[in-house]
Amino acid sequence: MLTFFPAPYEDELWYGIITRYHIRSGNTCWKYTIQELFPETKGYPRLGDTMPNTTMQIIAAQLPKNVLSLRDCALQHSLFPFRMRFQPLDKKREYLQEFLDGKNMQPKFLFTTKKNGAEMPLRFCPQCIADDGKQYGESYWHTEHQIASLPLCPKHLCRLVSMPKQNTMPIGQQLILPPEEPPDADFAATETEYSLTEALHYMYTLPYETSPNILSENLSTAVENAGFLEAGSVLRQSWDVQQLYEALVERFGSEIVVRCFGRHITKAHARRLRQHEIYSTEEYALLAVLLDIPPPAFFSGEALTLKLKEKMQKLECQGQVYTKSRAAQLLEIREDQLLPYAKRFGVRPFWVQSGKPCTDEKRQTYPVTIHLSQQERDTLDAYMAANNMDVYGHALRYFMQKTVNEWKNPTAD
Amino acid sequence: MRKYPPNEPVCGAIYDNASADNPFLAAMPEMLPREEFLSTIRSTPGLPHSLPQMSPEERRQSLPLLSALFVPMDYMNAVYDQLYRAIRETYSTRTAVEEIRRINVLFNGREGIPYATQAASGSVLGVPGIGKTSTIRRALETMPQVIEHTEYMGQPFYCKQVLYLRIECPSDCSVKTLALNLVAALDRAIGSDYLHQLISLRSIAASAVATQVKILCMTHHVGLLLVDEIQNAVETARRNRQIKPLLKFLVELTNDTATAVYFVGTPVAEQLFTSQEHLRRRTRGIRLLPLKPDGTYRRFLEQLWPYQLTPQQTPLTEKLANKLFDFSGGIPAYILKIFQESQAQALLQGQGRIDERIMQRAIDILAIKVPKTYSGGTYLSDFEVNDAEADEPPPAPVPAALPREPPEESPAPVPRLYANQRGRRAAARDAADLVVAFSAGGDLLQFLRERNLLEEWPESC
Repeated sequence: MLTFFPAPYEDELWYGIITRYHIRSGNTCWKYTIQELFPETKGYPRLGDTMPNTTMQIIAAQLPKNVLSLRDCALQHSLFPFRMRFQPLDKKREYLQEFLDGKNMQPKFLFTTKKNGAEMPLRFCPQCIADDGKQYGESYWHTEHQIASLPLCPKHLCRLVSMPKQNTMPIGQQLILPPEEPPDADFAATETEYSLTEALHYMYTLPYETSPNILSENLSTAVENAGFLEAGSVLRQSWDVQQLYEALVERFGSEIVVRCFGRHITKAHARRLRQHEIYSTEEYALLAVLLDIPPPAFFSGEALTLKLKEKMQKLECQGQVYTKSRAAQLLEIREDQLLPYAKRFGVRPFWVQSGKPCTDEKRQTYPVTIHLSQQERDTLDAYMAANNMDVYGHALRYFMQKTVNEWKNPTAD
Repeated sequence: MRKYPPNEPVCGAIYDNASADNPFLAAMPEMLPREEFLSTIRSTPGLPHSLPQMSPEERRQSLPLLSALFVPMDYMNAVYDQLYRAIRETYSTRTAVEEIRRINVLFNGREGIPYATQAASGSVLGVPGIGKTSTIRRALETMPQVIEHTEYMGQPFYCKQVLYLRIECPSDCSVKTLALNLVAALDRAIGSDYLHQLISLRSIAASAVATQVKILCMTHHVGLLLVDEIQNAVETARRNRQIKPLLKFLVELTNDTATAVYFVGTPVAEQLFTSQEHLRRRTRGIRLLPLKPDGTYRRFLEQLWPYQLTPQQTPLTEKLANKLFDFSGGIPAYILKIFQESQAQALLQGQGRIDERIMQRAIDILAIKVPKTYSGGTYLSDFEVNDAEADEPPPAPVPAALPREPPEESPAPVPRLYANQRGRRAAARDAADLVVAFSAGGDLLQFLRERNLLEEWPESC
């Protein structure tokens, strides 16, 4: 039974709590503290993990009941809620319960670190160190600061600093506190860093039970709005992964993108992202910033507007007839994409229909002669000029179709 | 109703209305009123029921029960009062945040900002056998040694608050041994295993052990550190001049951790305490002298006297009481020893009860030598509180918390007291004896004139 254990501070990393135990024990060597806390453990326990593991269970078993809540350890002193953010709710509950039942979750979540390769150094905010010192009498490791892609401290908006490595030992084998005299805070952040910090902080601070809305197509919508859909993939909506990856690298730099996505984004990966089958919160945060998706859009039922659809609907409502090239020009798409998009969005074509190629039996030509006064002729010319119509036949077909349609469907419009 | 049950060394914390950021002060046990304290520390073992049927051997076998007898006296309340206030002062001096800051300073080996107020420190010195250690032990046992905190104001808060630790000054006067003694005492109190860990480090420096001990004192919120047998330090100091590091460590411990330190020992330690001004300031406290042959002594004997295991009871006579006093010097341990040995001798001799002759035999066997002078101090009898005053109900809670100052100490050495006056009996002198007149201190010429002893020349001459 342990004779004392430091009360965890708000958002304190589990490793930090153990470090503070080491300091209070007065032990001259990290090894003795680790032996004292984990007498039965062979080798070194995984203290440097940011995910909950058996070290929490071992410590809790050595303390009186209700002193250390395993649930609090997992949800408030590790990156577990953050990493689980994009998991479905039932999975989240299942994993948490397994941990509370004493199972080791480590093997299941190896995927969370496999891209990272080398161990990330612990990070701190110089301003938080000063604030914590004043409030608690000592500084501590904040869990949120250990999100690898978080560039700034969400509270002070200054750049986070990585703890310089003092030796080659893994973090879990040494028990160190943040420096007592940190470097000066760096407030010169870019707009991208602010946005990314905001997105990550939002996802970090959501309640554990909040899961993504898997029915939401907001990510696909945002990808399409940003023009990262493959050319010709109007109906399948395949992403142009090459272009997307390049844009990510350009915006965030290759280091962070490689760490989160790897060296490229595969089509399969993109499809899984679209279907919320990828659980890396950081990937979604990067995409949110790149594609200008408000972070709540991943979790709420509110759908983002597809800009192209909105534009098409607007043009349709205007009641004007455009040439195909003009319509494509206005929508910033190719002419051959007009009809597929119109079908997908349920929009009636508002450009001149040349009609499908028909057989001779089906297609007949009816020559029509219309006598117009000079004044009527001038009015028609002015109308056609105003509506980008070049040919009288197109104008006549439009008038005819509109009148006949209104006659057929008097309730429409 | 007491806050914590008596004789429970470890208790769960019960908080009262102390300041919100100081759970240690809030969990302190209350100070006992004088009467309650004295009745708590009293120990009166029962005489065996089968005493009348016992053989002399069985009676001699039962004699050690006298060692369990503890007669409370008023000076004990004064000692308790000082120790209690010292513990409370420790927890008033350091807040939880300050404690954390201090631990980090110690751990990183930096220079810390001194505390706003100093922790209490002092000493209780007294002639050997006067009952210092027993008194302190019993006084401290009225409160739990360890208070276990698990939750404070709805937040998890797990630690063990050690109200006091008692250690003996190492005979080798080494800082490392003292530090290890302290760690061992801490291990005994809270069930930790720091000592094993420390002694497994063969090459650890004394300074590293000292730092760890300071940190542990803060981590476990030690309120009072009692260093008993401090005279050992003086004796060793004479031999190898190692006293300074040890005292320096204890002074540092007080300064760095704001833990109250009290030294307990014989008056021999006084010369060490007064050798340096900063030590003198930190080691003031009660100096105990034996009982006077007065009412307090008689009341002490009256409580002791029923414990006669001899077949017949000897009444407490003036003669026996005076003899016992003169040969024990009024030192309670010697009184008890002579009383016990007298009974043993009576039983061995086949006597039915103790008498003056038996007592003299016991005294001879014990070869007790009482010092002829003591360095200054206060007689145990002088601590006595007027019962009438004590019985009065306290007008308000404030006076109960106020310390009762012991009578002023006399720094000069004082001779030991005797119940029977010693020396040659004064010769009977005539009223007109010049020596008598000189001793009376009046006008000598007037004295002579009145008795017509002065031969004066007529004025005409």
